[in-house]
Amino acid sequence: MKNIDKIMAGKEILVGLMVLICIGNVAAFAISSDYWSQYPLRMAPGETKEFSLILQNLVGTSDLKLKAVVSTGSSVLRLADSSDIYIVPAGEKKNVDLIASVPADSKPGQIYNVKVDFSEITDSSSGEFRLGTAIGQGFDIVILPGVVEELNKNLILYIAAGAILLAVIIFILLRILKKKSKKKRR
Amino acid sequence: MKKGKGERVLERSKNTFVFVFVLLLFVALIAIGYFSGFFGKITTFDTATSKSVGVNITVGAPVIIEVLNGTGTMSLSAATLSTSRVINFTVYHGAGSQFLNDSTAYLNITLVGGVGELLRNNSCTRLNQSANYVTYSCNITMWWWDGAGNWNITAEIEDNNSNVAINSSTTLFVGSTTGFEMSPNNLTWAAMGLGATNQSSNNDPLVLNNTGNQPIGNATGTSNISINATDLKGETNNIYSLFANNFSAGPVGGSCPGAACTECGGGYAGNFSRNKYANVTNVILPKGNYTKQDGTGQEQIFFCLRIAGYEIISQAYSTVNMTAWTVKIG
Repeated sequence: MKNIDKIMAGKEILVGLMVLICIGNVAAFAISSDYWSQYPLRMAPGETKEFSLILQNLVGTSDLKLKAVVSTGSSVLRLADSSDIYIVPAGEKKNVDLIASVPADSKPGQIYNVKVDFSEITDSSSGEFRLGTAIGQGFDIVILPGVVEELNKNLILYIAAGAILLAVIIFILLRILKKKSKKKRR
Repeated sequence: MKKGKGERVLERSKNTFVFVFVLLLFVALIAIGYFSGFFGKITTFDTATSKSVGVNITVGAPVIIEVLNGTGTMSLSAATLSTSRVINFTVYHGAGSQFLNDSTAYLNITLVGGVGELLRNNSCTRLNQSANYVTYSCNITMWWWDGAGNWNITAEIEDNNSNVAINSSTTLFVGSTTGFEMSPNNLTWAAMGLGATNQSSNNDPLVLNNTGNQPIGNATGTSNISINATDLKGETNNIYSLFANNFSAGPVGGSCPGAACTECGGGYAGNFSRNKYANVTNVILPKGNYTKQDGTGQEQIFFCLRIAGYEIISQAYSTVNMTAWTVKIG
């Protein structure tokens, strides 16, 4: 406020515009995750998986208030908690639990892009105004071949192997029969 | 009396058996050192100035049987903190644990696919021991910029006869940490008249420090840094506003004020829209130790007010009556 007061005081003399974008105590929060752009979350069709992101406020001197939003892929990813507001005390970490659930009819190799945005909630009630920070944690969910597909694949292999075996047996039997019939003719 | 054919064959077989038996016995005796005293005597006899030679014979070489890396996954603390990880490994030595050379016990970890990302620990210490086994404990310190992914762990030790044992069978998974901080704490513009154009902030650039191990954006110019701007309302009369789309930003500052300000337009300067994230193109924030203050792990953003229209009045304008501007990565 002191800055503003000073500028306002000088306004009369300068007869001009004063532009001020104040940034309060900019929070330095971070997000840790086991999944990121190069490390997708792998899931089978119809599978549901719970995992966590970790909010860090380890070097901050004040508590952090963050709002979480699944900004991309909300059809397959949601927050496990009932509230989307997370308070991370100074010097601490906090887990954000997420639930990923992919449809049963997902195709192997299909990719779902997901992203969770965490925005700092700034408090302007004190008359200060801030430039806040936000971090988007995005990654892919990649669909692996499901159990049914694996079984089907194995079944096809078994059928093919059985058919080949049967053909070989028939071929051998035919040869034997042919030889026998030749001997009989002699 | 002449022997029969069968007897001759039997006798020949017996002779062959005896010869082979004696030969094998002789070889075995040499192998176990039965004649070493005799050979030693010959050597001593032959040498005028004999010297005593001490020979240590240890049974076998050391083997690292296990590398313990806890859960095998970890995440790093954001800047400016380090993260320590204790990794233990167990060594077996057939001759006894006293033959292991503690000063050679070390451990290094290398990021798979990383360029030059290697950490080494030479100060592994004995944690516990038994007759033939020793467990060493090594403390690896990682920093916020150390890469995410799988790190190969290599444990190594020598015994007193320089027999080396290496084990590279385990990995450590390090998750991603995405974070940043920025300064200064405010952006200001010098006083200007109505109708002024291309006015650069007088206290920029906004310096971003990467506090995690994820690069933001890439070298091809793809930026992942965006700004959500709001209109600046008049502090005395909030009917008047400086609109968000009057501002722009870019990674390079020109000679300002004036049209030559790079951040004021053209090229890669981003133009803002009210309450929408606008990507600031060509702004990339690589990972690294930003505390060097040489540009490593840092990026700058310069700001410009492109025009202060004649439709507003002279007063202070700020975000005090609006929501904050937000700088977002990712």
